[in-house]
Amino acid sequence: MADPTAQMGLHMGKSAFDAGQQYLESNMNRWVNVASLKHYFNVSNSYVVSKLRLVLFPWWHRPWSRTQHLSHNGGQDFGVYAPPREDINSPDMYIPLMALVTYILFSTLLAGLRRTFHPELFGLTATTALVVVFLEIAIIRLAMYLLSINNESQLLDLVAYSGYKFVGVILTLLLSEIANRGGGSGGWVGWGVFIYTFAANGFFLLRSLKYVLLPDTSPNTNSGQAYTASRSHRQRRTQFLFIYSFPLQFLFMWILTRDSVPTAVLTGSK
Amino acid sequence: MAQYGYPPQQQATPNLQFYQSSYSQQPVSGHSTPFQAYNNAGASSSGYANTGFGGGFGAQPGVSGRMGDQGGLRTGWLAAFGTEGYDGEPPLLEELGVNFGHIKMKTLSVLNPLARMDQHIMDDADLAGPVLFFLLFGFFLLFSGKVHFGYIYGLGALGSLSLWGVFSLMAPPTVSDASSTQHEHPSNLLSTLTFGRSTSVLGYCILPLVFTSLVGIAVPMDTFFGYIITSLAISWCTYSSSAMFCAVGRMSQMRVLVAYPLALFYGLFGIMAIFSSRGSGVLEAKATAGHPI
Repeated sequence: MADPTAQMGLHMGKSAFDAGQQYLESNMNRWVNVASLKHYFNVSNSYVVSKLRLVLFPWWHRPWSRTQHLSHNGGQDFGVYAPPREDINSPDMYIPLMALVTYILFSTLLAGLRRTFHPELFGLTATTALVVVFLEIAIIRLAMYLLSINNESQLLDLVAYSGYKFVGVILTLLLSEIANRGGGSGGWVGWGVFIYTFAANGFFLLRSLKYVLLPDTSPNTNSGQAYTASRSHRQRRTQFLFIYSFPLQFLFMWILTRDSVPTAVLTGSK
Repeated sequence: MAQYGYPPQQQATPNLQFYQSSYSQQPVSGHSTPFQAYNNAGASSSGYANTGFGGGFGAQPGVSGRMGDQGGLRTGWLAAFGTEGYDGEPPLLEELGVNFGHIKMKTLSVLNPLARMDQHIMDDADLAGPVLFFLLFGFFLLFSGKVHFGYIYGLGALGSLSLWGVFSLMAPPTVSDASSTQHEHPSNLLSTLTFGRSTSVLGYCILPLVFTSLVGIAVPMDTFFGYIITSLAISWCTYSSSAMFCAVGRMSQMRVLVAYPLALFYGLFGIMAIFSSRGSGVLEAKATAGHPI
């Protein structure tokens, strides 16, 4: 590359390209914080397998707290949560995202097998699922405001926690479809798997959201505020946690596993 | 390499006007375009910029607006129908950046399931091969009776965009960004997995499905045999594309996670292939005969 003109031109081109890239990214960073989003996708094979097992069989798992690294930044150290690759208890966004997409594609596939497919079904299923997630986040945020829970947990953490139920929903749809041979998701097998995955999901949320919703009562926390919550306050929070983990999840999971066509039409009986 | 003449006066302001070319006749070597030169030097990170700008500079010689004047075209009606151009002009394919050797190498690494993926295999991500494969897929489906070009474009565009988004989030930030300063944003979004490279990988790895659609012209795919062949093709596509993505994005221990959305993507194409082949009327007949609604 001996030619100086071409070299200069290439250099100009490269710096123009870099400037454009930076402009694009600074605009992107106003809306979406890519660096923190990457934290949620920093997963590995073993993490995903263990996490799926944890969502479906949470009964025997022992420590549920997330590990923290201490990082020193500008003189003060604060805790930074470990990425999902290193910490099984950390919520990630890979599983919820893939579970959501699989749920949409799978329920559309089931509709195709029942010959009730129409292209709007993609949009319908996607909207239903997203509305469910949105409602859950809204309810948790409202409760955090009303019960004055001062927790600065990230929004994406809550989205991740509410996305784990799709794993159970997909399992319910799959197993009931196999067992009922296309007759919908009712019947013994369908309801049995549904109740089991609902219970597992409820237990998982109970244990995980404890750290989000309930105040940290250990004496050696290094959070700045030292507040004393009254006993009824704490009781109310625990009650909300329970209501959120069980009845609400029952409602939402039932919405997601509904058949779109009543089974009487499918089996031909009137 | 052709010499470009500089204007003799060099002002204080850096010359924003381009040179007046009065280049001498010199034969073109194999390293004429900057694109080729950079490729042979093995620069990986600037490959993206080079394809845009290197080719342009290679075409500059001789465009001085004065025909037949200096070192230019031969005149006369015989030369007008000939294919010679200016002296020292690189061949057309080289100028366009279509490198058949690279295309062949990438295709062979897709077809050979035992090959190890080189990390720099996608440094010159070209879209010529992928576009060819997608068009072949569409044409084979056309020959078997169904016109699905719209679905291929739509699914291809939407799928490749979302797959690029997910994989660039999953890929670790590049080493140069990690070592760069803390107080300025590392360029997380683009890293080593640019959209061009990602689309290129997706397009190359659809080759087994192209073969399946070729088979589907003659043999109906709705049968058990057809399902087996299509599933085999989908898993082959997924296997090779997950290997390529993990190599290009420098991802470690993530291969199964990368393979899952790719399996969904190629699975949708496979469904297109199954329900387009010659025997697809069989499914409809079975459906309407069994359940009168």
